[in-house]
Amino acid sequence: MDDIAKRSIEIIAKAKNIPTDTIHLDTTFEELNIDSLDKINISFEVEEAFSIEIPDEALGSLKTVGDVVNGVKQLVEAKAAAGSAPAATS
Amino acid sequence: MRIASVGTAYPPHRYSQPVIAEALRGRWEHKMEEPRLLTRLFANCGVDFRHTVFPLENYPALDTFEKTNNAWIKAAVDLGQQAICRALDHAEISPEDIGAIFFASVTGISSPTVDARLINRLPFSVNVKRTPIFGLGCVAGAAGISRASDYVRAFPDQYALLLSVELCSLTWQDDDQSIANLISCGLFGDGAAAVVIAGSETPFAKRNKGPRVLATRSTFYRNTERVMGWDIVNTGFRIVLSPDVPKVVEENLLGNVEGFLADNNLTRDDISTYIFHSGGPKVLEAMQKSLGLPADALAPSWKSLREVGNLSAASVLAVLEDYLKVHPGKPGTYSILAAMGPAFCSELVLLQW
Repeated sequence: MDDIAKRSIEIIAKAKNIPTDTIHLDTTFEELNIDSLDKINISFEVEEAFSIEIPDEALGSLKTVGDVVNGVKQLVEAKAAAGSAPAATS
Repeated sequence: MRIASVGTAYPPHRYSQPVIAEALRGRWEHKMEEPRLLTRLFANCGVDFRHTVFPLENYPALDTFEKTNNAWIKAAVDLGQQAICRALDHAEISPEDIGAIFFASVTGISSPTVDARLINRLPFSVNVKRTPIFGLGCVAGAAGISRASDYVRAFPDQYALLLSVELCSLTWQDDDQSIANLISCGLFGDGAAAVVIAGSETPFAKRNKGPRVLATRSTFYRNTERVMGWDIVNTGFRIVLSPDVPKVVEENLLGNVEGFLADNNLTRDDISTYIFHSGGPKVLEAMQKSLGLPADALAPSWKSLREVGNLSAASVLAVLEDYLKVHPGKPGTYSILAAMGPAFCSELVLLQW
């Protein structure tokens, strides 16, 4: 398991006060009893941990822990790509 | 007795959800530890657009209950009149044909009530019977159809009119940044709906148009007073909205529906469509899950939620209008119209097309 997956699972485990080894990539939010408010609070923690900004409307499509990990990876990669792009000339 | 028609009416101002979110965030962010909570909650409550009685910039000036309630009275009468005229036009009847008016709202109060003020505007009979209903909240759309149907069951040669006007934007509370209030302000919209119920011996019913109301069922859930409702405070109506609402729905709806159908010698297999109140994503998901419905079974309810938000009592009537116009059932098929609301309680209406 890569670092993004490990860190994401730690955040979810802390938010729900459950052991990390009970959470896997295919674990659903329903199984973890994570409601929409939990999702929002987790999203704030994830944003801080990875220095990313999650679009407000993105949370509705997240159903599993793997969805979170994939979403974070995409945002981290997009941020890295934006950071390495040549500066625009003015 | 039959549902003869539905007419809906919406205020002129319509905004996308992000625009409403930004407006309220601008008003409240100095009072919030994490203002992004508001925009993120708003973005995830299944609502794309809502109508409001006033332009968003006018709301900060409505800073007392007196101001909001007076605004509610004026706007409720105007919007109610539009909804009634549309419903009467669809049914091809006149105000003087109406024997009884049931008026439901939970977003403002007045005496004389809004229905009385409308009798001064439209040529209803001076002998029309009035039943204003306050406090049923979201369940009042379904319950109103039930009570109006009870009336025409007793007086089969008459028409009854149900009017629901809900101006939820006038209940926004500036000094409440609780999760419940943020969800409520993100979910509820403004709108009105009127329904004409035709007694079985009326000219309309004799034309065999519109779904028949076969039976109704009210179910009260004891000791659930804090699941949903209002606390009445100096500034108006402060929302009571428990996170347990979906759980209460899941625990009760299936039993209510199966018991109701069994008493009418039917089963869930006999029901072709479910016309459900657009309570919110969690409530609609709980309804689907409870009854084991496929994902698209409540599509018109989800659509109404996206397009106008939760209109409280008027929502299920707006969904009913959509069924009458766009998705009417095949002759002989059955539908259940349902809503739940403060008490907590449910109201089920068995229809046959």
